[in-house]
Amino acid sequence: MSFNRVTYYTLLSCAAGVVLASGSALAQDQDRIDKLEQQVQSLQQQVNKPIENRVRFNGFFSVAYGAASNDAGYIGYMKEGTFENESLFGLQGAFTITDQTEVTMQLVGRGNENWEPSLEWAYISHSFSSDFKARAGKMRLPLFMYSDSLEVGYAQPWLRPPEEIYGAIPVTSYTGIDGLYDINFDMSTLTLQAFVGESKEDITQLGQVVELEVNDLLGGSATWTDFTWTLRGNVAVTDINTGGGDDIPTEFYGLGFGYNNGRLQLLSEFTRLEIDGATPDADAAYFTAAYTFGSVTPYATYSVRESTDDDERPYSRGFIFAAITNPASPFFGNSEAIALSDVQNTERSAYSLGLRWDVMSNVALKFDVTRASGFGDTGGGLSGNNFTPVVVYDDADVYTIKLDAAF
Amino acid sequence: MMTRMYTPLNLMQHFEGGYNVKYILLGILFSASSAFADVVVITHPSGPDSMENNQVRDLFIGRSKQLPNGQSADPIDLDQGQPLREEFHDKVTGRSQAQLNAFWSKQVFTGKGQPPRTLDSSASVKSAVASTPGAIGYIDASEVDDSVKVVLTP
Repeated sequence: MSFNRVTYYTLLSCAAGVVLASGSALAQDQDRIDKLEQQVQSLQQQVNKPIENRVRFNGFFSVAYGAASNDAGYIGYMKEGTFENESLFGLQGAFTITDQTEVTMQLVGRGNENWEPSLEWAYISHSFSSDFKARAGKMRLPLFMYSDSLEVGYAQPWLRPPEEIYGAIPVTSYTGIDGLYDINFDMSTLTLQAFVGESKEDITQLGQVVELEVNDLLGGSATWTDFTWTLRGNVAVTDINTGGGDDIPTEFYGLGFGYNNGRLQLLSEFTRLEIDGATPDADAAYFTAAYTFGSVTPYATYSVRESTDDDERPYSRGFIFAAITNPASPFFGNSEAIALSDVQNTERSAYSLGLRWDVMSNVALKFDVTRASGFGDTGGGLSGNNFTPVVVYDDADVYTIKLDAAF
Repeated sequence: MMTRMYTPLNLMQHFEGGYNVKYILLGILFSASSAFADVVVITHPSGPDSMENNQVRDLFIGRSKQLPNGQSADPIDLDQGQPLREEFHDKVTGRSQAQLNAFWSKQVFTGKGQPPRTLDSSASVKSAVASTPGAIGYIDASEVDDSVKVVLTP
């Protein structure tokens, strides 16, 4: 403060001196005084505005307890309740290098991975102008409206993002570069994003752990928002490979809609996944309505998922299981052949009723009941129906309580 | 609750009419609690002459970084739990505190921005705004003096 005062008076007396010394050119002096005043102002701002921290840490934490009505494995839950399935923590560090350049890292440890932390974000970002920012490193794959804050439960109205849409893509991040370009209108902003990269991740497919390679990933998204309404469209193309064999061309499309007037919240997304060959293609959609009454926000969600290329899996469930168990069959003992059968066909709809209760600042307690049914003549994509010659489960209910915090 | 609004004038009338002191105290109590605070948005005296609701909102949700006159903005919020903060956000950002917290956690964990700095009282906000060019905050209308400039009464 004292430095500030001294500077202020010094500059002012300089300005006064300037005025006295050259009274003949008043207009010119006025200009100089204006400039000096501006200098004083910016010095004053530098002194009074707190220096932004060069390093910032934030975290989030969720602990969930849930159980299902049966052992079909919907959303990873069984009849026996568990804390581990959806509990997690995240720690994020943002390191400012210059005013335009920042490094961000996020570690996430999940209960269902023995809490071993893994790096979800690790990127450097640089703002080339106020409108254009580029990032390089490991980032979230922006396939959905809530991809960026996928595991930050506190940022979401639901207990979990609708499983029919968000639960179907096993890859959630990629390594590469992206560019974000903002176009500001009078009352709204359009953000255009383009990304290229790749990813390699172990996934579980029909009970087997395989390494999924996502190569030559290329995509983009456009998001328009005026803070009340949000509209989003995105696309991604890639070649995937699960070890051996040719790369499989894959395309993904998403449309999103959001409305939030501070009380009423509406959310909806539609996604389409197209994979060459027998790996299932699927359309999925959800609609959520939530309403905030003070600290309590009840919500309801309806979501659906359906495989759209059933004709690419010619064998019936009964036939393939008979073949796998028959020593005379060429498929004997080859459980991977299940992938060629209608076991992978999916039809499922789910209803969720839930409630978010903001217990205190930055802590929310959530309750959710989700019922999945409407499998048609499929197994509904539930793991409990994948390895049986007939469909065992026609539906599944999941009950969950979750505490979400951000700090 | 039907509560008659007491003004100093009708309090005086009550007093002259020989009302019990208890009623006067009650009247003061009610007039204090029912006088809905009028929040005003203020800047440093070098700030713009006036601002639109949306311009102020965009600064407080981190969507814009500059005041309309080109100054680099330094938005200052009140700490959580203060009634004036709730009134400001109700009128300007249109978000409840719970939704605002959720919004900021989304911004923070996606690297899109940090919430504005906060101070613990409107007196601190006023003195910070009065001494910082580019600062923008809000206080109760009754606290305004010429150390700050009112740019919006939302």
